[in-house]
Amino acid sequence: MINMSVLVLTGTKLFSIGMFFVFVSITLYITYWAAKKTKTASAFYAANRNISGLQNGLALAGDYMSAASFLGIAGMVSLKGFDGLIYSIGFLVGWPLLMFLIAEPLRNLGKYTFSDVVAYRLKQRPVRIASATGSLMTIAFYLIAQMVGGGALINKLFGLSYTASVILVGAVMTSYVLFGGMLATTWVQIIKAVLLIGGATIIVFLTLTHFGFNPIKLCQAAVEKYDISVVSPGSYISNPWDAISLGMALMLGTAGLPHILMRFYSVPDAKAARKSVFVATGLIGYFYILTFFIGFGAMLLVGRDAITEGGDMGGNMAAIMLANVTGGAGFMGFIAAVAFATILAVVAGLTLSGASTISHDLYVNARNKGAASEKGEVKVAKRATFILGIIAIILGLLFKKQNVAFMVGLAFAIAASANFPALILSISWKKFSTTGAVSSIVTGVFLSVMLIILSPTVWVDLFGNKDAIFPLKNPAIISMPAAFLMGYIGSVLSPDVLAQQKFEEERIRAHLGVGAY
Amino acid sequence: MPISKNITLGLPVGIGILISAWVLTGIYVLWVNRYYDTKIEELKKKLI
Repeated sequence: MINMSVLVLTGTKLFSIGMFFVFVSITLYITYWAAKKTKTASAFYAANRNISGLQNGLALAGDYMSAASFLGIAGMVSLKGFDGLIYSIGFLVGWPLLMFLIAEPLRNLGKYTFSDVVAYRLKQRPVRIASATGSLMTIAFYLIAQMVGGGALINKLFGLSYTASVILVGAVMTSYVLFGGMLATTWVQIIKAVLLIGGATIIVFLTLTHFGFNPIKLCQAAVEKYDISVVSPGSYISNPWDAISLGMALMLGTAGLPHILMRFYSVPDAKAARKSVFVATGLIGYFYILTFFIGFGAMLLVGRDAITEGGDMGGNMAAIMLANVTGGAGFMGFIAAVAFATILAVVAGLTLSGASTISHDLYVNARNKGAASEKGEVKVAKRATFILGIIAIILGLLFKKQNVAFMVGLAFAIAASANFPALILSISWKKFSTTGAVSSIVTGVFLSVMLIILSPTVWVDLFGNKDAIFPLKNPAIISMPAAFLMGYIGSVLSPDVLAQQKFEEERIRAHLGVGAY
Repeated sequence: MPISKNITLGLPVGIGILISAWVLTGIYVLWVNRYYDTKIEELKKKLI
């Protein structure tokens, strides 16, 4: 059994910090290299569309596999068993959906952000503002969760004060984006993806040596140690409606995450876009199989009591403790550094996406009606990046003691309710109108946020009320269909003839790629 | 619902879903590269 205090050995800490410095140095050098190429808007937002399908696939995987999924899912599996797999599956099945419905039309129709696609044949200003709001809200909640989780993690692993950790993360990731734009963040994601998948593979490899390389033996041993409930559903999600709602949020939210959708513009064409989804899906799927075995390995080799020692009911230390048990303190230090790198990469992606929305959607298109010089747009984008970096730090400090695990769920719910319905309707439904788009997005944002406030996680756990007004932990099952419905009603009540006329042209461009950037 | 000693059906089904999600994207890429793209090129030529 391991005592948490022993994990923070001075030697290990120095080794970890050292490795982390190597990572930061390499990535800052890449940022410097990328900075020389990041002068135009096309470079800043889309890396001049020079990213290959394979590279983008790695970057997408890197952007998607956050510290939350690595530590959080491994932790949940270690404590609750089978139900942790629900998150993995939910997160992954959004990707085939992206491939079949969104990837190619998105790339063909848009320039830099997915709002380009939503507003393609509609009135620019209202739709841009609405879509930007949906984007920014998704990004905000996701960002808070990552900054707070990251700060707490670094504080625990490296002993740096929470405040220092948050400032460090904020400063470094802002530099990546500010100076290196999409090109730098892409390479940071790629490096981090390789480290994370490699590290997780080694953990599972080492764990399986204890079980004769037989994963079935691993699961059986877990049941023997605890009981059959670890391989049965129900320990975490007991209400089937909740399960469906969560599943919907994860599956459809993936297709509405602004920082993921933005990556599609960094590849040359639709063909590369589809290749990148294929690569990303394979990597992420493989990674989730790994986290599942890491969870069971931690359950067995570390033990549930040790994992929750120190009051961490989320089990976030499970993967790191398993690394310690299987590979020694040095290996644990490596995994800790990788977790830190993961946080940096994801927040950089989120910040770039936020800055792009502010400059491209709000400033250039909503405010200036599409007219802005290249240089002007880049300047606004960089200023937005800087401000967002500061806001990210402030948010991280503000939410310090809060349990923010629910925020990632909220971000996905907003993405599934506000962003996804409008996006898909805009691509595929002729009669979709400006009013429909705005109503859909507003309904999505409003309902998902309101229902989460009224849900058990906030109303009971956070505010201390006795019973939740809204019984489900995830609002997607209500907010997403409602957004589709409002999209329909809004379009029927207030049709947009110009938009209908442009539909044929949009279809040709979406599917054939004629006229794509 | 156990299928062999202490292994429930959910485990292989769960991992199966993860793998099939990836395989599905692969099948799509193969199909579209082989058949769909040629049709698209034909259409594009007709338009231009």
